[in-house]
Amino acid sequence: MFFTSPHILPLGDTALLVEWGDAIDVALNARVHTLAHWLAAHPAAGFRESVPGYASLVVHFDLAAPVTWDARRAWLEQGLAHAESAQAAESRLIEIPTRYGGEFGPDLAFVAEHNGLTESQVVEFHTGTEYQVYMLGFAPGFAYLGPLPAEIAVPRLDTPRARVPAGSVGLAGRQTGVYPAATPGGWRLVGRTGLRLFDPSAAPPTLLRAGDRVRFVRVED
Amino acid sequence: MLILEPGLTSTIQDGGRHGSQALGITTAGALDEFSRRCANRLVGNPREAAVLEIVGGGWAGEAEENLLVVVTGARVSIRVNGQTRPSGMALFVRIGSRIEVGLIERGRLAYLAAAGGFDTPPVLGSRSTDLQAGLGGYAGRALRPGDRIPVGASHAPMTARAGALLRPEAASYLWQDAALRVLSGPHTRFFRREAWTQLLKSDYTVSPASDRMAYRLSGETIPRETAEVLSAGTVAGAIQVPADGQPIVLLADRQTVGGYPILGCVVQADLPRLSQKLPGEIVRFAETVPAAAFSAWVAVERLIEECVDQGVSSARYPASGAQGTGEIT
Repeated sequence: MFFTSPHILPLGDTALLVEWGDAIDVALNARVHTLAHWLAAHPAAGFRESVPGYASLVVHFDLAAPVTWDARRAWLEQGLAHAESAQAAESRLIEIPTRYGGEFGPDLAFVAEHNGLTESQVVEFHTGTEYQVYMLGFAPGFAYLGPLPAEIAVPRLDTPRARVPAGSVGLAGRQTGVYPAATPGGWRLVGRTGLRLFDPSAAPPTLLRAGDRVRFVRVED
Repeated sequence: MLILEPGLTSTIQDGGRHGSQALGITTAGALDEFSRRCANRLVGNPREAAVLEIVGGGWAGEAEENLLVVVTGARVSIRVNGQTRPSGMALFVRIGSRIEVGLIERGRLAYLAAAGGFDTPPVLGSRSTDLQAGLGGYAGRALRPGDRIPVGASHAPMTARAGALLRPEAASYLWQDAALRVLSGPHTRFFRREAWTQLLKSDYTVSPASDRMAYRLSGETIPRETAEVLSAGTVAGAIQVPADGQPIVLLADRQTVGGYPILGCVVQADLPRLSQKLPGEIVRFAETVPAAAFSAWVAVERLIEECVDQGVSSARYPASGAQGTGEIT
């Protein structure tokens, strides 16, 4: 699961890929965020941005900076050395008030039936745990959250919906997430939040960022 | 600039929205950065000025004030008020003039820059249009007839730069018939050994299902192991191989993270040439190493720095509306 030591590999001629392992795991993912924070706090010349994955971090560079690839790697090695001993960066807990079922969660009944539960029990499982924000991707502000309790795991829709309302809370496999904007979507929808997950004119523009923890809170009508 | 006809599609693009990929926000930006930057140099714009990226031909606009414009990228026919004008030349265009970017003779993407830059509101540091997210550019979308694009103030008197011409070395850069240089990896362990040799020895055809997110290629299937990779960050130029074995080259509007394994990455210096390939055209790949990729990048930067030939500007020829000055009366 964890590689013996993290790999640093070229990703084309403008980025380096740091990989820690090959599994979706909260402890693995925490290493990603620790390094990302260190790099942002100690930027090398030409450092543009880093992009977390489940167990990886892509580090993008501006080639115009007078820095060699050896120096860029040495900077990452320095960050990794600090990351080994550093405490995990302080992570925020974000609560997401959610209305479950009915028109807001058209797939809640399916999730219940698929797992031999009542809808109420599904909601209890979903709200009863804290999720790690592994990374953002797919769309602005879309957070990949997990691990979803095995008791309420469900497969994706065979055919995605052409349009999922903004704020929809979905499940797929052992993941959960919220659609920040109306887009096509293949996850099973169990509820909807009124929180705005992405606002390009806000600072910061996304409600969630990689490394946060999330708890869903049931809101009654 | 008033848009009369958007062509097949046109969007406002600059060098891309950098710094927000960790939030799921793609970079967008001009597919052919070389042509965008040359266009800006020809009209005296700063490097990051936004231009119009025009796909296909049939674009028309009206200058709502005096403008200095240039078209680079694809070889196209340009007309101003019905008169044929050269591409790659800075043209002084009077208020009320109709500008047409017509039939494309070679390539796919034309870049139209105006002195002062297209001055739409920046979003998260960039004017590039993110079509998927509906951000930036003009109302976050492709241009439509009737759209009025504000143009910033020019940094230098426009008539002084009229007639500046793209040098032949820069003009011919996009049309070299050479393989696209690729660096191997990073997901080498997800592929059989033959996969890399397969990529390097095959001709691939650009598929019609190609767009700003990626160019899809069809050709010999690339053998891969069955596992997907954990979703990880992407770069423009990354060659992903999905289950069907047909390679996809990610471009400016790619999703910021992806789960298909990446066999190799096209070097930045060769993305402009790739972007100008039409569906049905052939691409080939050649292996390179990081040092050579950097040399290629340096060479392209130099070509851009030196892309302007001021020799035919109106400073040397009297302003008379003659062909050589680029001025239209």
